[in-house]
Amino acid sequence: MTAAELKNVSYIYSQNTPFMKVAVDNINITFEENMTIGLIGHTGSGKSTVAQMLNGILRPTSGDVIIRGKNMWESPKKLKEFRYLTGLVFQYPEYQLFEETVYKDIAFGPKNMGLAEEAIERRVREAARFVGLSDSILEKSPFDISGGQKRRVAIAGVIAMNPKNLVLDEPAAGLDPRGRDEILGRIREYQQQTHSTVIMISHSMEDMALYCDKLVVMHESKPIMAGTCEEVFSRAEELEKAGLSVPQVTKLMMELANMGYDVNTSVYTIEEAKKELLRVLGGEVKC
Amino acid sequence: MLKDITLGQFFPGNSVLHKLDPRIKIIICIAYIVGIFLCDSLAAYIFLIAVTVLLMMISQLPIKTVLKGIQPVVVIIIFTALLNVLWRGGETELFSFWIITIYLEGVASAIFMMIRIIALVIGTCIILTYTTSPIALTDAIERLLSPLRIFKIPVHEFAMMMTIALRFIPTLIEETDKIMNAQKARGSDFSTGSLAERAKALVPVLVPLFISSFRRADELAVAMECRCYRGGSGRTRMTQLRLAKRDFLFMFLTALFIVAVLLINQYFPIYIA
Repeated sequence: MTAAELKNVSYIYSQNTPFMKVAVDNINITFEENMTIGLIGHTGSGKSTVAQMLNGILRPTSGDVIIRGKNMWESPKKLKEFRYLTGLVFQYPEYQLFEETVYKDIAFGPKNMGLAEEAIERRVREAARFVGLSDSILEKSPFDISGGQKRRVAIAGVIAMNPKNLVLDEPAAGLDPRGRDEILGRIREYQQQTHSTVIMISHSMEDMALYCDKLVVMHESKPIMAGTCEEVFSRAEELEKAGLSVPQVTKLMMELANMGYDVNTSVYTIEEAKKELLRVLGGEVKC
Repeated sequence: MLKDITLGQFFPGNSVLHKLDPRIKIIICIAYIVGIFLCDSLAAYIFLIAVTVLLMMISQLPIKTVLKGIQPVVVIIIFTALLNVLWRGGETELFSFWIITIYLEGVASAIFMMIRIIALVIGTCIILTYTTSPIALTDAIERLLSPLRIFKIPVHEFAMMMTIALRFIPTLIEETDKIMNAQKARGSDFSTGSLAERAKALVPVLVPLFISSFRRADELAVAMECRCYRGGSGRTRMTQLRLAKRDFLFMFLTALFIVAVLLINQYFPIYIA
């Protein structure tokens, strides 16, 4: 069974007005189960629209959204079930916090699901642990904590609903490098521990190479590539045409290969690059 | 969902009405409203409908959008029509049942009332809100009201407040939409349940909305100070309003419209009511 599937899906904003815009143009994407999938693309390529369709916030103008084998818009009354099945974290989710305490805010989702008090408590603590929030923070006001912590609270609020699929729209946008690594690392860990499917939107190739199993590349309202990081990044020229690029280290390796060094250019993370360079240099590093 | 609000929304276009000087448009709009209330005879109402349809054609707006502007006042229209039909007495009895008696005069005045309100809403929408950007509108209001400065009324400050308020309506709508979606994704339900439940469901939307509005106001104030904003005195404008030939033409046509209404009232006094 696939985690999510889009079949011949189109989405048009403000149809029949001068502001009309085709955001997604008759696309087919399949998201497989139990992995972290990166959805990358230039600004305006339709990634966020795809994310919102996966959760039923947007209804496709045409086509079907199939989540875990079930057609989402078959009976719109059951829409809520799909919302719980696929958690969606919006861009800059910290602006949606509203409760008096962090605990209550994370509990908002589970409460809406109608869970019992003990179950809510367990889920809140579990979710807080996943994103790395300490117990002392849970009793604070969500308006008194730092930006990075707010972001984590917001993500925990969705994780607490135990969604089978988790969609995150630029979870690391606007964070400093340490905050970014921390959050993306936690999300990755969460995925591996719960065997859920995580779909992450980003335009940072470095992050995607580091934290994703598979990638889907969007360009001008259509997916143009899909596959593992190796498969996608090996098509550097096409990526560049789509206004994207390969990770900086990959570029470096390509340059080195051009200069005549015998390096493998399918290297996407700094860790791999280090190994590869050490191999080429014969294990000896002299400064 | 929130994007469906059309009354008072600018609809970009390229018609003569779009290009008219906003000051002239305000004056024309007022004159047009006066004209509507001057209509007195059947012939004048027919003339009014013709002028409104003509305006609609000149504006090149999609008819659907224009008609959508009536939606918010439908209840008022129906209510006034009913009042007129049921309570207005007359001579020609049409229909009588129990304590209700309906007269021809009542039906006629109900129809005239409906025409008036619809013409009023459509006309002001076409002349002003649909074809004038909010910024141009406040600019024009500031200019038209500027003589009040003699009486120490801070016209510029009011206009600036209005500009800012108008400028942020779409932003707020967008923000509301976004926050609502985010809470919907967490299982909030805004469309079912009792009135109390629905009101309660709005708390998770209103709190973040207020917080971000205050934050935004603060940022805007700082940004304005950084650019040395210190009120209206001595400030020059990037877009100067200048009257063109078409502005005078439309002024003339408006005057003609009012004269025509008066003449029709005078010489074709076909009354039913």
